[in-house]
Amino acid sequence: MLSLIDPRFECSICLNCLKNPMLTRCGHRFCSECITTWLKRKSQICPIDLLPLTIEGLFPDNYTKREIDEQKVACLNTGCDVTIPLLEADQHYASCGFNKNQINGLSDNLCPFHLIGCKDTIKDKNELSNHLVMSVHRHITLLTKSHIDFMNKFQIRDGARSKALEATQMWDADKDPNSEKALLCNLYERIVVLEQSNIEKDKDIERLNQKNAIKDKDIEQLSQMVNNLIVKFEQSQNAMLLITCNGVYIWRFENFMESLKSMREKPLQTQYYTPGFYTSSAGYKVCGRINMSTDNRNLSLFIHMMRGDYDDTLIWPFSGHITLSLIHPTNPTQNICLKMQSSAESEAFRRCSFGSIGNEVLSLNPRAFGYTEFVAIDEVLQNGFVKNDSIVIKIIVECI
Amino acid sequence: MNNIATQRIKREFKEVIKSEELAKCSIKVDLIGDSYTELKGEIAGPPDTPYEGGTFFLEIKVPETYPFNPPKVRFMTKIWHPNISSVTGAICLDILKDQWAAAMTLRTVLLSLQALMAAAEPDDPQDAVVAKQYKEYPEIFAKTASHWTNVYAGGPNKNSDFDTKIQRLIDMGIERDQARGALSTYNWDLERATEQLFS
Repeated sequence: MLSLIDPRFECSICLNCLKNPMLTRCGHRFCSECITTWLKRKSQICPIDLLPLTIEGLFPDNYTKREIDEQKVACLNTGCDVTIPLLEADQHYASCGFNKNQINGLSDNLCPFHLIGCKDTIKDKNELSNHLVMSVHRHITLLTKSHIDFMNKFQIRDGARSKALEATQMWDADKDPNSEKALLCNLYERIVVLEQSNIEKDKDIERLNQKNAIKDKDIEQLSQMVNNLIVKFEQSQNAMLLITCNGVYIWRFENFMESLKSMREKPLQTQYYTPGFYTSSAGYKVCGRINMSTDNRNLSLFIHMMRGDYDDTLIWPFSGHITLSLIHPTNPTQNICLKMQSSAESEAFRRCSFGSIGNEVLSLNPRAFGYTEFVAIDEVLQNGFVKNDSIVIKIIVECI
Repeated sequence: MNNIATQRIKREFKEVIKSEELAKCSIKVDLIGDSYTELKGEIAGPPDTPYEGGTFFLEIKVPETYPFNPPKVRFMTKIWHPNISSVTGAICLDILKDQWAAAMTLRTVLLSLQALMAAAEPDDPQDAVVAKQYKEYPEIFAKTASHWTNVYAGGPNKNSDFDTKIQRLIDMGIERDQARGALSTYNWDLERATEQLFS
Protein backbone atom coordinates (compact mmCIF):
# COMPACT_ATOMS: atom_id res chain seq x y z
CA MET A 1 0.00 0.00 0.00
CA LEU A 2 2.98 2.29 0.15
CA SER A 3 4.09 4.21 -2.88
CA LEU A 4 7.62 4.08 -4.19
CA ILE A 5 9.36 7.40 -3.77
CA ASP A 6 12.27 8.69 -5.79
CA PRO A 7 15.19 8.62 -3.26
CA ARG A 8 15.82 12.28 -4.04
CA PHE A 9 12.45 13.17 -2.54
CA GLU A 10 12.73 10.91 0.50
CA CYS A 11 13.31 12.27 4.00
CA SER A 12 15.86 10.05 5.79
CA ILE A 13 14.12 10.61 9.10
CA CYS A 14 10.51 9.67 8.34
CA LEU A 15 11.41 7.81 5.13
CA ASN A 16 8.44 9.61 3.62
CA CYS A 17 8.10 12.12 0.84
CA LEU A 18 9.74 15.42 1.82
CA LYS A 19 7.23 17.80 3.36
CA ASN A 20 8.38 21.44 3.35
CA PRO A 21 11.89 20.33 2.46
CA MET A 22 14.76 21.98 4.34
CA LEU A 23 18.33 21.90 3.05
CA THR A 24 21.15 21.61 5.59
CA ARG A 25 24.52 23.31 5.43
CA CYS A 26 26.02 19.89 4.72
CA GLY A 27 23.70 19.38 1.75
CA HIS A 28 21.02 16.99 3.05
CA ARG A 29 17.26 17.36 2.76
CA PHE A 30 14.72 16.60 5.45
CA CYS A 31 11.12 17.49 6.19
CA SER A 32 11.00 20.74 8.10
CA GLU A 33 9.19 19.08 11.03
CA CYS A 34 11.47 16.00 11.14
CA ILE A 35 14.76 17.89 11.23
CA THR A 36 13.60 20.51 13.73
CA THR A 37 12.29 17.76 16.04
CA TRP A 38 15.65 15.96 15.74
CA LEU A 39 17.70 19.08 16.45
CA LYS A 40 15.56 19.92 19.47
CA ARG A 41 15.85 16.42 20.94
CA LYS A 42 19.42 15.33 20.35
CA SER A 43 22.88 16.76 20.15
CA GLN A 44 23.16 19.23 17.35
CA ILE A 45 24.39 17.05 14.50
CA CYS A 46 23.20 16.10 11.02
CA PRO A 47 21.48 12.68 11.21
CA ILE A 48 23.27 11.54 8.04
CA ASP A 49 26.91 12.59 8.25
CA LEU A 50 26.98 13.52 11.98
CA LEU A 51 28.51 16.93 11.22
CA PRO A 52 27.61 19.75 13.63
CA LEU A 53 24.28 21.33 12.67
CA THR A 54 21.92 23.85 14.26
CA ILE A 55 18.54 25.27 13.33
CA GLU A 56 20.40 28.25 11.86
CA GLY A 57 22.07 25.87 9.39
CA LEU A 58 18.75 25.03 7.71
CA PHE A 59 17.27 26.68 4.64
CA PRO A 60 13.90 26.09 2.98
CA ASP A 61 14.53 24.23 -0.29
CA ASN A 62 11.78 25.66 -2.46
CA TYR A 63 13.27 24.27 -5.64
CA THR A 64 12.79 20.69 -4.44
CA LYS A 65 9.41 21.62 -2.98
CA ARG A 66 8.23 22.75 -6.44
CA GLU A 67 9.66 19.61 -8.01
CA ILE A 68 7.77 17.42 -5.54
CA ASP A 69 4.57 19.40 -6.07
CA GLU A 70 4.79 18.53 -9.75
CA GLN A 71 5.15 14.78 -9.12
CA LYS A 72 2.03 12.68 -9.68
CA VAL A 73 1.63 8.97 -9.03
CA ALA A 74 -1.03 6.47 -10.02
CA CYS A 75 -2.84 4.61 -7.25
CA LEU A 76 -1.54 1.03 -7.10
CA ASN A 77 -4.86 -0.47 -6.02
CA THR A 78 -6.59 -2.56 -8.69
CA GLY A 79 -9.78 -0.96 -9.81
CA CYS A 80 -8.74 2.57 -8.82
CA ASP A 81 -7.32 4.60 -11.69
CA VAL A 82 -6.83 7.89 -9.87
CA THR A 83 -3.65 9.90 -10.34
CA ILE A 84 -2.69 11.80 -7.22
CA PRO A 85 0.02 14.28 -6.25
CA LEU A 86 2.94 12.48 -4.60
CA LEU A 87 2.50 14.33 -1.33
CA GLU A 88 -1.09 13.21 -0.99
CA ALA A 89 -0.40 9.58 -1.85
CA ASP A 90 -0.45 8.31 1.72
CA GLN A 91 -3.62 10.22 2.48
CA HIS A 92 -5.23 8.72 -0.60
CA TYR A 93 -4.21 5.17 0.26
CA ALA A 94 -5.63 5.58 3.72
CA SER A 95 -9.08 6.32 2.27
CA CYS A 96 -8.95 4.67 -1.17
CA GLY A 97 -12.16 2.76 -1.79
CA PHE A 98 -10.26 0.02 -3.61
CA ASN A 99 -7.99 -0.61 -0.68
CA LYS A 100 -7.98 -4.32 0.09
CA ASN A 101 -7.52 -3.70 3.78
CA GLN A 102 -10.50 -1.38 3.80
CA ILE A 103 -12.81 -3.93 2.17
CA ASN A 104 -11.75 -6.87 4.30
CA GLY A 105 -11.14 -4.83 7.39
CA LEU A 106 -13.43 -3.17 9.87
CA SER A 107 -14.84 -0.43 7.62
CA ASP A 108 -18.34 -1.95 7.87
CA ASN A 109 -18.19 -3.18 4.24
CA LEU A 110 -19.57 0.10 3.05
CA CYS A 111 -19.59 1.41 -0.50
CA PRO A 112 -16.73 3.98 -0.91
CA PHE A 113 -19.47 6.51 -1.71
CA HIS A 114 -21.13 6.03 1.68
CA LEU A 115 -19.96 9.44 2.77
CA ILE A 116 -22.22 11.09 0.23
CA GLY A 117 -25.21 8.86 0.91
CA CYS A 118 -24.85 5.43 -0.83
CA LYS A 119 -26.24 2.95 1.68
CA ASP A 120 -25.20 -0.28 -0.10
CA THR A 121 -22.95 -2.82 1.65
CA ILE A 122 -20.33 -4.87 -0.18
CA LYS A 123 -19.01 -8.33 0.72
CA ASP A 124 -15.85 -8.63 -1.42
CA LYS A 125 -13.75 -7.11 -4.17
CA ASN A 126 -15.78 -8.60 -7.02
CA GLU A 127 -19.05 -7.33 -5.59
CA LEU A 128 -17.46 -3.90 -5.15
CA SER A 129 -16.42 -3.77 -8.82
CA ASN A 130 -19.93 -4.80 -9.85
CA HIS A 131 -21.53 -2.28 -7.54
CA LEU A 132 -19.32 0.55 -8.82
CA VAL A 133 -20.15 -0.28 -12.44
CA MET A 134 -23.88 -0.71 -11.84
CA SER A 135 -24.40 2.33 -9.66
CA VAL A 136 -22.44 4.90 -11.67
CA HIS A 137 -25.54 6.94 -12.34
CA ARG A 138 -26.68 6.96 -8.74
CA HIS A 139 -23.19 7.87 -7.51
CA ILE A 140 -22.96 10.77 -9.94
CA THR A 141 -26.34 12.08 -8.78
CA LEU A 142 -25.22 11.83 -5.14
CA LEU A 143 -21.94 13.58 -5.99
CA THR A 144 -23.70 16.44 -7.76
CA LYS A 145 -26.11 16.83 -4.87
CA SER A 146 -23.39 16.93 -2.25
CA HIS A 147 -21.40 19.34 -4.40
CA ILE A 148 -24.33 21.74 -4.63
CA ASP A 149 -24.92 21.45 -0.88
CA PHE A 150 -21.28 22.21 -0.24
CA MET A 151 -21.25 25.22 -2.57
CA ASN A 152 -24.37 26.62 -0.89
CA LYS A 153 -22.85 26.31 2.54
CA PHE A 154 -19.66 27.94 1.34
CA GLN A 155 -21.51 30.88 -0.20
CA ILE A 156 -23.58 31.60 2.88
CA ARG A 157 -20.49 31.57 5.05
CA ASP A 158 -18.28 33.54 2.71
CA GLY A 159 -20.92 35.64 0.98
CA ALA A 160 -19.73 38.94 2.36
CA ARG A 161 -16.13 38.26 1.55
CA SER A 162 -16.78 37.16 -2.03
CA LYS A 163 -18.83 40.32 -2.63
CA ALA A 164 -16.00 42.46 -1.40
CA LEU A 165 -13.66 40.57 -3.67
CA GLU A 166 -15.94 41.14 -6.63
CA ALA A 167 -16.07 44.84 -5.86
CA THR A 168 -12.32 45.20 -5.81
CA GLN A 169 -12.00 43.40 -9.07
CA MET A 170 -14.59 45.68 -10.65
CA TRP A 171 -13.09 48.89 -9.46
CA ASP A 172 -9.49 48.03 -9.85
CA ALA A 173 -9.29 45.49 -12.63
CA ASP A 174 -5.51 45.56 -12.79
CA LYS A 175 -5.05 44.72 -9.17
CA ASP A 176 -5.28 40.98 -8.90
CA PRO A 177 -5.25 40.02 -5.21
CA ASN A 178 -3.34 36.88 -6.11
CA SER A 179 -0.47 38.86 -7.58
CA GLU A 180 0.30 40.32 -4.15
CA LYS A 181 0.60 36.86 -2.75
CA ALA A 182 2.76 35.82 -5.70
CA LEU A 183 4.90 38.87 -5.15
CA LEU A 184 5.32 38.04 -1.46
CA CYS A 185 6.23 34.49 -2.39
CA ASN A 186 8.82 35.70 -4.88
CA LEU A 187 10.24 38.16 -2.38
CA TYR A 188 10.50 35.47 0.27
CA GLU A 189 12.36 33.16 -2.07
CA ARG A 190 14.62 35.99 -3.07
CA ILE A 191 15.40 36.75 0.59
CA VAL A 192 16.35 33.13 1.18
CA VAL A 193 18.67 33.15 -1.83
CA LEU A 194 20.20 36.44 -0.72
CA GLU A 195 20.70 35.16 2.81
CA GLN A 196 22.49 32.13 1.50
CA SER A 197 24.77 34.17 -0.71
CA ASN A 198 25.29 36.56 2.20
CA ILE A 199 26.55 33.71 4.38
CA GLU A 200 28.92 32.65 1.61
CA LYS A 201 30.15 36.22 1.25
CA ASP A 202 30.74 36.44 5.00
CA LYS A 203 32.85 33.33 4.80
CA ASP A 204 34.83 34.78 1.87
CA ILE A 205 35.49 37.97 3.83
CA GLU A 206 36.62 36.00 6.84
CA ARG A 207 39.03 34.02 4.66
CA LEU A 208 40.39 37.22 3.09
CA ASN A 209 40.84 38.81 6.51
CA GLN A 210 42.80 35.82 7.68
CA LYS A 211 44.99 35.99 4.57
CA ASN A 212 45.54 39.71 5.14
CA ALA A 213 46.56 39.17 8.75
CA ILE A 214 49.18 36.66 7.61
CA LYS A 215 50.46 39.09 4.97
CA ASP A 216 50.65 41.90 7.54
CA LYS A 217 52.71 39.72 9.79
CA ASP A 218 55.05 38.86 6.90
CA ILE A 219 55.48 42.55 6.09
CA GLU A 220 56.25 43.35 9.72
CA GLN A 221 58.88 40.63 9.83
CA LEU A 222 60.41 41.79 6.55
CA SER A 223 60.64 45.44 7.66
CA GLN A 224 62.23 44.28 10.91
CA MET A 225 64.78 42.36 8.87
CA VAL A 226 65.44 45.38 6.66
CA ASN A 227 65.97 47.57 9.75
CA ASN A 228 68.41 45.07 11.21
CA LEU A 229 70.25 44.93 7.91
CA ILE A 230 70.48 48.73 7.76
CA VAL A 231 71.94 48.84 11.28
CA LYS A 232 74.40 46.10 10.41
CA PHE A 233 75.30 47.82 7.18
CA GLU A 234 75.96 51.13 8.97
CA GLN A 235 78.07 49.35 11.54
CA SER A 236 80.15 47.60 8.91
CA GLN A 237 80.40 50.80 6.89
CA ASN A 238 81.77 52.61 9.92
CA ALA A 239 84.16 49.76 10.54
CA MET A 240 85.27 49.92 6.89
CA LEU A 241 85.79 53.67 7.19
CA LEU A 242 88.09 53.13 10.14
CA ILE A 243 90.14 50.68 8.08
CA THR A 244 90.24 52.69 4.87
CA CYS A 245 90.75 56.19 6.30
CA ASN A 246 94.53 56.04 5.53
CA GLY A 247 95.48 57.34 8.93
CA VAL A 248 93.29 60.44 8.75
CA TYR A 249 90.62 60.67 11.42
CA ILE A 250 88.22 63.57 11.78
CA TRP A 251 87.00 63.63 15.34
CA ARG A 252 83.76 65.49 15.73
CA PHE A 253 83.56 65.84 19.50
CA GLU A 254 79.87 66.44 20.17
CA ASN A 255 78.20 67.46 23.40
CA PHE A 256 81.47 69.23 24.24
CA MET A 257 80.39 71.52 27.13
CA GLU A 258 78.99 68.69 29.21
CA SER A 259 82.02 66.49 28.51
CA LEU A 260 84.26 69.41 29.43
CA LYS A 261 82.46 69.74 32.71
CA SER A 262 83.02 66.11 33.66
CA MET A 263 86.66 66.31 32.46
CA ARG A 264 87.23 69.35 34.69
CA GLU A 265 85.69 67.66 37.70
CA LYS A 266 88.18 64.78 37.42
CA PRO A 267 91.16 65.86 35.36
CA LEU A 268 93.27 62.96 33.99
CA GLN A 269 90.68 60.42 35.09
CA THR A 270 87.92 61.40 32.68
CA GLN A 271 89.24 60.60 29.24
CA TYR A 272 87.58 60.40 25.84
CA TYR A 273 88.86 58.12 23.05
CA THR A 274 88.28 57.88 19.33
CA PRO A 275 87.54 54.44 17.92
CA GLY A 276 90.65 52.63 16.66
CA PHE A 277 91.57 53.47 13.06
CA TYR A 278 94.26 52.19 10.71
CA THR A 279 97.14 54.15 9.20
CA SER A 280 96.48 52.28 5.94
CA SER A 281 94.67 49.10 5.07
CA ALA A 282 96.72 46.37 6.78
CA GLY A 283 98.54 49.11 8.70
CA TYR A 284 98.97 50.20 12.32
CA LYS A 285 95.90 50.65 14.51
CA VAL A 286 95.81 53.82 16.55
CA CYS A 287 93.33 55.94 18.49
CA GLY A 288 93.15 59.47 19.81
CA ARG A 289 92.55 60.53 23.41
CA ILE A 290 91.46 63.77 25.02
CA ASN A 291 91.35 64.88 28.68
CA MET A 292 92.10 67.85 30.94
CA SER A 293 95.61 68.49 32.16
CA THR A 294 96.41 68.27 35.88
CA ASP A 295 96.29 72.05 36.31
CA ASN A 296 92.81 71.95 34.82
CA ARG A 297 93.62 74.71 32.37
CA ASN A 298 94.72 72.89 29.24
CA LEU A 299 93.26 70.24 26.97
CA SER A 300 95.61 67.24 26.53
CA LEU A 301 95.62 65.40 23.21
CA PHE A 302 97.40 62.06 22.68
CA ILE A 303 97.78 59.12 20.33
CA HIS A 304 97.75 55.51 21.54
CA MET A 305 99.05 52.55 19.56
CA MET A 306 96.40 49.84 19.63
CA ARG A 307 96.41 46.10 19.16
CA GLY A 308 95.57 45.67 15.46
CA ASP A 309 94.77 42.79 13.18
CA TYR A 310 98.01 43.13 11.19
CA ASP A 311 100.51 43.75 14.00
CA ASP A 312 102.34 40.51 13.09
CA THR A 313 103.17 41.79 9.63
CA LEU A 314 104.39 45.25 10.61
CA ILE A 315 107.76 46.72 11.63
CA TRP A 316 108.04 47.78 15.26
CA PRO A 317 108.38 50.23 16.85
CA PHE A 318 106.14 52.43 14.74
CA SER A 319 107.93 55.10 12.80
CA GLY A 320 106.24 58.09 11.22
CA HIS A 321 104.66 61.54 11.54
CA ILE A 322 101.72 62.45 13.63
CA THR A 323 99.75 65.63 13.04
CA LEU A 324 97.20 66.82 15.59
CA SER A 325 94.96 69.77 14.68
CA LEU A 326 92.11 71.60 16.33
CA ILE A 327 89.98 72.90 13.47
CA HIS A 328 88.38 76.32 13.67
CA PRO A 329 84.83 76.09 12.32
CA THR A 330 84.93 79.37 10.34
CA ASN A 331 88.51 80.60 10.04
CA PRO A 332 91.10 78.03 8.83
CA THR A 333 93.96 80.42 9.70
CA GLN A 334 93.15 80.04 13.36
CA ASN A 335 93.50 76.23 13.19
CA ILE A 336 95.91 74.91 15.81
CA CYS A 337 98.17 72.35 14.12
CA LEU A 338 101.05 70.49 15.73
CA LYS A 339 103.22 67.90 13.96
CA MET A 340 105.40 65.31 15.73
CA GLN A 341 107.98 62.75 14.70
CA SER A 342 107.86 59.28 16.30
CA SER A 343 110.81 58.33 18.43
CA ALA A 344 112.25 54.83 18.50
CA GLU A 345 113.05 55.12 22.18
CA SER A 346 109.53 55.89 23.36
CA GLU A 347 107.54 53.08 24.89
CA ALA A 348 104.50 54.57 23.24
CA PHE A 349 105.41 53.27 19.77
CA ARG A 350 106.03 49.69 20.82
CA ARG A 351 103.73 46.94 19.84
CA CYS A 352 100.79 46.59 22.20
CA SER A 353 101.13 43.25 23.93
CA PHE A 354 98.52 41.07 25.54
CA GLY A 355 98.09 41.01 29.26
CA SER A 356 99.74 44.38 29.79
CA ILE A 357 98.50 46.64 32.56
CA GLY A 358 96.77 48.71 29.95
CA ASN A 359 93.08 49.22 29.39
CA GLU A 360 91.76 45.75 28.64
CA VAL A 361 88.63 46.97 26.89
CA LEU A 362 90.39 49.17 24.39
CA SER A 363 93.44 46.91 24.28
CA LEU A 364 95.80 49.75 23.64
CA ASN A 365 99.30 50.65 24.60
CA PRO A 366 99.07 52.35 28.04
CA ARG A 367 101.79 54.77 27.06
CA ALA A 368 100.49 57.63 24.94
CA PHE A 369 102.30 60.14 22.77
CA GLY A 370 101.15 63.73 22.35
CA TYR A 371 100.71 67.00 24.22
CA THR A 372 99.71 67.41 27.87
CA GLU A 373 99.07 71.07 27.12
CA PHE A 374 97.80 70.97 23.58
CA VAL A 375 95.66 74.06 23.90
CA ALA A 376 94.48 76.27 26.77
CA ILE A 377 90.83 75.67 27.46
CA ASP A 378 90.19 79.42 27.64
CA GLU A 379 91.48 79.79 24.10
CA VAL A 380 89.14 77.05 22.89
CA LEU A 381 86.14 78.64 24.49
CA GLN A 382 86.95 82.30 23.67
CA ASN A 383 88.22 81.96 20.12
CA GLY A 384 85.08 80.29 18.83
CA PHE A 385 86.30 76.74 18.35
CA VAL A 386 83.06 75.45 19.85
CA LYS A 387 80.20 75.45 17.39
CA ASN A 388 76.89 73.70 17.94
CA ASP A 389 78.34 72.35 21.18
CA SER A 390 81.09 70.47 19.33
CA ILE A 391 84.75 70.84 18.43
CA VAL A 392 86.55 69.20 15.52
CA ILE A 393 89.93 67.54 15.88
CA LYS A 394 91.85 66.16 12.93
CA ILE A 395 94.38 63.41 13.52
CA ILE A 396 96.79 62.35 10.77
CA VAL A 397 99.12 59.39 11.31
CA GLU A 398 101.57 58.68 8.49
CA CYS A 399 104.13 55.88 8.31
CA ILE A 400 107.60 56.39 6.98
CA MET B 1 1.97 4.62 19.32
CA ASN B 2 2.82 7.82 17.60
CA ASN B 3 2.24 7.97 13.90
CA ILE B 4 5.71 8.84 12.67
CA ALA B 5 7.29 5.86 14.48
CA THR B 6 4.76 3.41 13.00
CA GLN B 7 5.02 4.94 9.53
CA ARG B 8 8.79 4.73 9.72
CA ILE B 9 8.83 1.06 10.78
CA LYS B 10 6.34 0.19 8.02
CA ARG B 11 8.56 1.82 5.45
CA GLU B 12 11.67 0.23 6.91
CA PHE B 13 10.08 -3.18 6.60
CA LYS B 14 9.92 -2.71 2.90
CA GLU B 15 13.56 -1.68 2.93
CA VAL B 16 14.75 -4.75 4.86
CA ILE B 17 12.59 -7.06 2.81
CA LYS B 18 13.82 -5.84 -0.53
CA SER B 19 17.44 -5.50 0.53
CA GLU B 20 20.25 -7.71 -0.71
CA GLU B 21 21.17 -8.91 2.76
CA LEU B 22 17.91 -10.81 2.95
CA ALA B 23 18.72 -12.58 -0.29
CA LYS B 24 21.96 -13.73 1.29
CA CYS B 25 19.98 -14.74 4.41
CA SER B 26 22.26 -12.59 6.55
CA ILE B 27 19.72 -10.28 8.24
CA LYS B 28 15.98 -10.32 8.71
CA VAL B 29 13.26 -8.51 10.70
CA ASP B 30 9.87 -9.96 11.68
CA LEU B 31 6.80 -8.48 13.33
CA ILE B 32 5.56 -9.81 16.65
CA GLY B 33 1.80 -9.43 16.60
CA ASP B 34 0.15 -6.40 14.97
CA SER B 35 1.90 -3.61 16.83
CA TYR B 36 5.01 -2.17 15.35
CA THR B 37 6.56 -1.61 18.77
CA GLU B 38 8.05 -5.07 19.22
CA LEU B 39 10.03 -6.79 16.51
CA LYS B 40 12.22 -9.84 16.14
CA GLY B 41 15.58 -9.51 14.39
CA GLU B 42 17.74 -12.25 12.98
CA ILE B 43 21.45 -12.10 12.14
CA ALA B 44 23.59 -14.81 10.57
CA GLY B 45 26.99 -15.22 12.21
CA PRO B 46 29.53 -13.51 9.96
CA PRO B 47 31.89 -15.81 8.00
CA ASP B 48 35.46 -16.43 9.27
CA THR B 49 34.39 -15.80 12.89
CA PRO B 50 33.53 -18.23 15.70
CA TYR B 51 29.88 -17.26 15.06
CA GLU B 52 29.87 -18.58 11.47
CA GLY B 53 26.97 -20.92 10.79
CA GLY B 54 24.94 -19.68 13.76
CA THR B 55 21.65 -17.81 13.66
CA PHE B 56 21.19 -15.16 16.34
CA PHE B 57 17.82 -13.78 17.34
CA LEU B 58 17.34 -10.26 18.65
CA GLU B 59 14.62 -8.55 20.62
CA ILE B 60 13.93 -5.10 19.15
CA LYS B 61 11.74 -2.60 21.01
CA VAL B 62 10.78 0.54 19.12
CA PRO B 63 10.22 3.53 21.41
CA GLU B 64 7.42 6.01 20.72
CA THR B 65 10.03 8.63 20.01
CA TYR B 66 11.61 6.57 17.22
CA PRO B 67 13.48 7.55 15.02
CA PHE B 68 14.57 10.43 17.23
CA ASN B 69 15.71 7.90 19.83
CA PRO B 70 17.36 4.55 19.07
CA PRO B 71 15.51 1.23 19.21
CA LYS B 72 16.24 -0.95 22.26
CA VAL B 73 18.00 -4.08 21.05
CA ARG B 74 19.11 -7.19 22.98
CA PHE B 75 20.35 -10.65 21.98
CA MET B 76 17.79 -13.35 22.74
CA THR B 77 20.22 -16.05 21.62
CA LYS B 78 22.98 -16.57 24.15
CA ILE B 79 26.34 -15.46 22.76
CA TRP B 80 29.99 -15.31 23.96
CA HIS B 81 31.25 -11.89 22.88
CA PRO B 82 33.15 -9.08 24.70
CA ASN B 83 30.55 -6.42 23.84
CA ILE B 84 27.46 -8.51 24.60
CA SER B 85 26.45 -9.68 28.04
CA SER B 86 26.71 -13.48 28.21
CA VAL B 87 23.93 -13.43 30.84
CA THR B 88 21.37 -10.85 29.68
CA GLY B 89 22.23 -10.35 26.01
CA ALA B 90 22.58 -6.58 26.56
CA ILE B 91 24.67 -4.90 23.87
CA CYS B 92 27.35 -2.26 24.18
CA LEU B 93 27.28 -0.42 20.85
CA ASP B 94 27.64 3.36 20.52
CA ILE B 95 24.96 3.79 17.83
CA LEU B 96 22.42 2.21 20.17
CA LYS B 97 23.28 4.88 22.73
CA ASP B 98 24.66 8.36 22.25
CA GLN B 99 25.84 7.95 18.67
CA TRP B 100 22.36 7.23 17.32
CA ALA B 101 21.23 9.38 14.37
CA ALA B 102 17.73 9.67 13.01
CA ALA B 103 18.81 8.60 9.53
CA MET B 104 19.84 5.16 10.82
CA THR B 105 17.41 2.29 10.31
CA LEU B 106 16.76 -1.22 11.64
CA ARG B 107 18.77 -2.46 8.69
CA THR B 108 21.82 -0.36 9.54
CA VAL B 109 21.52 -1.39 13.20
CA LEU B 110 21.50 -5.09 12.30
CA LEU B 111 24.40 -4.65 9.90
CA SER B 112 26.34 -2.77 12.60
CA LEU B 113 25.69 -5.64 15.01
CA GLN B 114 26.91 -8.10 12.42
CA ALA B 115 30.04 -5.98 12.02
CA LEU B 116 30.46 -5.89 15.80
CA MET B 117 30.35 -9.69 15.85
CA ALA B 118 33.12 -9.76 13.26
CA ALA B 119 35.24 -7.13 15.03
CA ALA B 120 34.85 -6.95 18.80
CA GLU B 121 35.96 -3.92 20.79
CA PRO B 122 37.41 -5.43 23.99
CA ASP B 123 38.44 -2.00 25.29
CA ASP B 124 34.80 -0.95 25.60
CA PRO B 125 33.36 -4.18 26.98
CA GLN B 126 29.86 -5.10 28.07
CA ASP B 127 31.04 -8.40 29.55
CA ALA B 128 34.35 -7.90 31.37
CA VAL B 129 34.95 -11.64 31.81
CA VAL B 130 34.64 -12.30 28.07
CA ALA B 131 36.73 -9.24 27.22
CA LYS B 132 39.54 -10.41 29.53
CA GLN B 133 39.56 -13.87 27.93
CA TYR B 134 39.43 -12.29 24.45
CA LYS B 135 42.58 -10.30 25.23
CA GLU B 136 44.54 -12.84 27.27
CA TYR B 137 43.58 -16.19 25.76
CA PRO B 138 42.36 -15.49 22.21
CA GLU B 139 42.44 -19.19 21.30
CA ILE B 140 40.28 -20.24 24.25
CA PHE B 141 37.97 -17.33 23.46
CA ALA B 142 37.53 -18.49 19.85
CA LYS B 143 36.81 -22.06 20.96
CA THR B 144 34.34 -20.91 23.64
CA ALA B 145 32.50 -18.55 21.26
CA SER B 146 32.35 -21.33 18.66
CA HIS B 147 31.03 -23.76 21.28
CA TRP B 148 28.31 -21.32 22.40
CA THR B 149 27.38 -20.77 18.74
CA ASN B 150 27.06 -24.54 18.34
CA VAL B 151 24.93 -24.98 21.45
CA TYR B 152 22.65 -21.91 21.30
CA ALA B 153 22.70 -20.70 17.69
CA GLY B 154 22.88 -23.97 15.76
CA GLY B 155 26.51 -23.59 14.71
CA PRO B 156 28.38 -26.57 13.22
CA ASN B 157 31.37 -26.93 15.58
CA LYS B 158 30.76 -29.48 18.30
CA ASN B 159 33.39 -29.56 21.04
CA SER B 160 33.33 -32.96 22.77
CA ASP B 161 36.08 -31.96 25.20
CA PHE B 162 33.93 -29.08 26.51
CA ASP B 163 30.83 -31.29 26.51
CA THR B 164 32.63 -33.85 28.71
CA LYS B 165 33.63 -31.21 31.22
CA ILE B 166 30.09 -29.82 31.33
CA GLN B 167 28.73 -33.35 31.85
CA ARG B 168 31.07 -33.79 34.82
CA LEU B 169 29.56 -30.72 36.50
CA ILE B 170 26.02 -31.83 35.61
CA ASP B 171 26.80 -35.11 37.30
CA MET B 172 27.62 -33.12 40.40
CA GLY B 173 24.13 -31.65 40.27
CA ILE B 174 24.87 -28.37 38.48
CA GLU B 175 22.39 -27.05 35.91
CA ARG B 176 23.71 -27.27 32.30
CA ASP B 177 23.80 -23.55 31.36
CA GLN B 178 25.26 -22.65 34.73
CA ALA B 179 27.98 -25.28 34.26
CA ARG B 180 28.80 -23.96 30.79
CA GLY B 181 28.91 -20.38 32.08
CA ALA B 182 31.28 -21.25 34.93
CA LEU B 183 33.61 -23.30 32.73
CA SER B 184 33.67 -20.56 30.06
CA THR B 185 34.46 -17.98 32.73
CA TYR B 186 37.38 -20.01 34.12
CA ASN B 187 38.87 -20.83 30.72
CA TRP B 188 37.58 -24.45 30.95
CA ASP B 189 39.62 -25.13 34.08
CA LEU B 190 37.33 -27.76 35.64
CA GLU B 191 38.85 -27.47 39.09
CA ARG B 192 38.47 -23.71 39.36
CA ALA B 193 34.95 -23.79 37.95
CA THR B 194 33.97 -26.45 40.48
CA GLU B 195 35.54 -24.50 43.29
CA GLN B 196 33.62 -21.36 42.30
CA LEU B 197 30.30 -23.21 41.94
CA PHE B 198 30.52 -24.87 45.33
CA SER B 199 32.05 -22.05 47.32
